[in-house]
Amino acid sequence: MTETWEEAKISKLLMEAFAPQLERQRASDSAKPTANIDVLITFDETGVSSHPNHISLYHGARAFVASLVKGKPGWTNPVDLYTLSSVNVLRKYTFFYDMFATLATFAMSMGKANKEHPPTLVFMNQLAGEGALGTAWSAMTTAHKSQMVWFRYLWIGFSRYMLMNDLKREKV
Amino acid sequence: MDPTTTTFLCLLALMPVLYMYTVGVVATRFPALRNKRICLLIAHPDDEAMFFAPTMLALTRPETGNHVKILCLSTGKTDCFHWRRTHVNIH
Repeated sequence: MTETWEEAKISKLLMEAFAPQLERQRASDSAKPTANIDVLITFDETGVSSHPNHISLYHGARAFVASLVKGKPGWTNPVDLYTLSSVNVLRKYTFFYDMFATLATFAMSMGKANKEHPPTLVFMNQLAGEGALGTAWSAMTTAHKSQMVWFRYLWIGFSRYMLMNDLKREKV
Repeated sequence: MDPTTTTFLCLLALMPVLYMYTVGVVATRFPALRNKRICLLIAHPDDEAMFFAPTMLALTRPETGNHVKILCLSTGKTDCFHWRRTHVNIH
């Protein structure tokens, strides 16, 4: 549970799941690389909580997405890889106050706006209503009840990740 | 109470309102994913709720036309934590 997972194994698993036809496409010069997903989302290089498993996912996902266009210069990658930004401990537990830093990060990244492949995605939960903070809380406290040790209550009460995510598009 | 403290406390109190307004703007004006086949790759079953709840809730709204799959690479079982997962429907 605390070990690093091999990048190559993760990449191979993703390949089998999402681009099983890739070998055949690679063999032909004119065949465009395709996949059966358009977007892959995972943790960033720091893994948000620095968990080795999370970091392994980042490397495995990168390796998979890179392999889709390896040896095919000029082809657009069929999969966009977006990673969840890790924030420092000063920001992590500031709940909705982190909104300012998150929006600033977004503003700074929008230099090269690209509608089809946005460089940054920001998602924010409402505080009340359907599909809002209450839903996020109950996902943790009911579906993942076995994980709700005392410090998890601090997480769901203060963490900015319960309210907002900013995802950055990886250049692979 | 001096003016600085008053201002500061007002801002603190108004923060939820400001936040709720911002959420509306972000949801309608910011770049989005539409009609995509998406895979969320996680390590442990609760990652989707602990870290990715805003992403999951936004991307699975029916009007986006997205199709979202979650691929989880472990059961997360250790000596201290054992998963007993019920079927999750976060809507």
